[in-house]
Amino acid sequence: MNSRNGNGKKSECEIIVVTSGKGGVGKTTATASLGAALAIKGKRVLVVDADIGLRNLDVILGLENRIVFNLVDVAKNICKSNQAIIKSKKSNNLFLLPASQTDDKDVVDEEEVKAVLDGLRREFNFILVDSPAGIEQGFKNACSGADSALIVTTPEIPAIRDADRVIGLLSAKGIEPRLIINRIDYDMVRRGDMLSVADVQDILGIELIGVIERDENIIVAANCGEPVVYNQKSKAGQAFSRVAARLCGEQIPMSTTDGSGLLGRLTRLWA
Amino acid sequence: MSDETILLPENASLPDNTALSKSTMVPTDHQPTSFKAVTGNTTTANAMGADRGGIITARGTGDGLVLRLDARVAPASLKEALVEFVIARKGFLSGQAVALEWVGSKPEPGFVDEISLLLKEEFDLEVRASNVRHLGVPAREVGNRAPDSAVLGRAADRDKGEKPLSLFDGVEMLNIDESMSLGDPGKTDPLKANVFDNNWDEADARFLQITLRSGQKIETEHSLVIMGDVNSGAEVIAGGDIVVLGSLRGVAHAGAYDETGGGRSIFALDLQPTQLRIGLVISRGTGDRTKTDRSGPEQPGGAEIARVDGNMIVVEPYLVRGSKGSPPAWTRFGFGKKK
Repeated sequence: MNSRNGNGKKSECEIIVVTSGKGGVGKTTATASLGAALAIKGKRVLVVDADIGLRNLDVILGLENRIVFNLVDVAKNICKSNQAIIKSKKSNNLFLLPASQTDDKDVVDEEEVKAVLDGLRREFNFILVDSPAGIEQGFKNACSGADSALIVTTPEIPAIRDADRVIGLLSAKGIEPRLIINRIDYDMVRRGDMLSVADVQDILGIELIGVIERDENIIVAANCGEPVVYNQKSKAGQAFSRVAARLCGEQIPMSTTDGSGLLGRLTRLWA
Repeated sequence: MSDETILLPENASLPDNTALSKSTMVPTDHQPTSFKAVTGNTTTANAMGADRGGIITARGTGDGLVLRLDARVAPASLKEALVEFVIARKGFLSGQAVALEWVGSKPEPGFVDEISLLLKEEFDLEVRASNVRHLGVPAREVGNRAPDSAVLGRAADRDKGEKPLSLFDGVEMLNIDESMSLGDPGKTDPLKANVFDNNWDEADARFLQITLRSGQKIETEHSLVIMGDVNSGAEVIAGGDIVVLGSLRGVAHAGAYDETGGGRSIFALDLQPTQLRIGLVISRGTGDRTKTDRSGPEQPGGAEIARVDGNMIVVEPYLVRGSKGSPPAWTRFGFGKKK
């Protein structure tokens, strides 16, 4: 599992935690999709499921039958990390470190998780950590060792409020968050039945990295165990691919159908 | 149960993580014993005894003994009451370290030292701390009688006859005799209280450039100017006024150490609060959340200022010229020298 490129130089790894506060807004979907999209671009990616006790990332990737060891085993030194990490079905660049299903979130602490992740930095270009919902020990474990964060929210007030809380907590930890707005329905926005991207930004005020439209293909993809980015016809898949490109530093303008220019709506972080 | 009141430290630039992350809402161990009528059998869950109309109560907390003192009472009478109180409980109190908690208003600067000295020399009681307790919301007032009936009244709505909720309803007034009275609180017109006399000396306004996220809370005895937003789920508590140069979507409590509210007000460039509290009056915001298009005419679209009028909180636009160019509404509050 060597991430050195052709001339033997190590490339730097970025550890990104994908979190939200609110449950069910699309963290696991985003982690899997972004992992797959980055792998398609040729990056070596590890996705880590930090939702101990309620693991889902393995199902979304279709790898639930291949799990032998998991994150807890690695953290407690029962096995080595390369014994627990599973290669994905469709890509040679995408790997999964699954969570344990039989423990709960207090079984490991921040230092243990950070040690595991730091030990894996040499091997990968990106490590995406799928955080559980909430702000308790599971969330804290997932954030340990992260260089930056992706906050996922839907354009609904409960989700936005929880995201706001999490942004505050992350800022206090010195982790810079970027925003993904998931499940937006532009028809509803036009009718005035749903908050617009501008409304969400008005409250949260952090850098926006992606807007994902509501898409039936995601449900199908979740049940089939194949991330939605492999489906060329899916709008959500295309949006995730664009986010992955932005994570790699490419400048891709937001494509919105509500006409407002979003490039100007950048960081309003008072710190 | 430890005291979770957090006072903003003197040299705060950016409050540290632990202060802001505590998501304590209203302190629910708050028993307004000092505001209840005296019958002699005031038994509240926490009070270990009250004296003389509940001016002084003692209770135990996780950190030790706390003596709550009513700061509105004249100093001489308070001292007398305190001496009586301690003597009556000498066996229980001796050798203890106590924390002082002041309610009702802020004590005179030298007075706290006087009391500490008195307790130390006469009774060998060490005073370990002295805090001014903000009013919070008396727990038994909230609940089924949650402020549904107190609606932020736009000035024009006052005539519609919506019944305001006053937290004085159902709470009998403190029975203090003339020698201790500071005047009838019901009759004090907070607007007439000369703003400069009361506030000039403590015009310490804390100025913060910060956006308060959901779950964060700032508390200070002084006035507070926030350059940024206060998001829904955040709380701002100030002994003085509150000025938000941004959107106020959370909870703001001005005049939090004074039961009359002290004529304090809450200002915001974009006032969409969850709740506003001034002194003991509490009102909920009228934010219409079903409508997502907030550019409609329901918001006057400008800065607004909230103040207490009688038993209600009234919101008025901040920059409005009357017809014929009369001065803006806010000067009638007695802020500027123009009257």
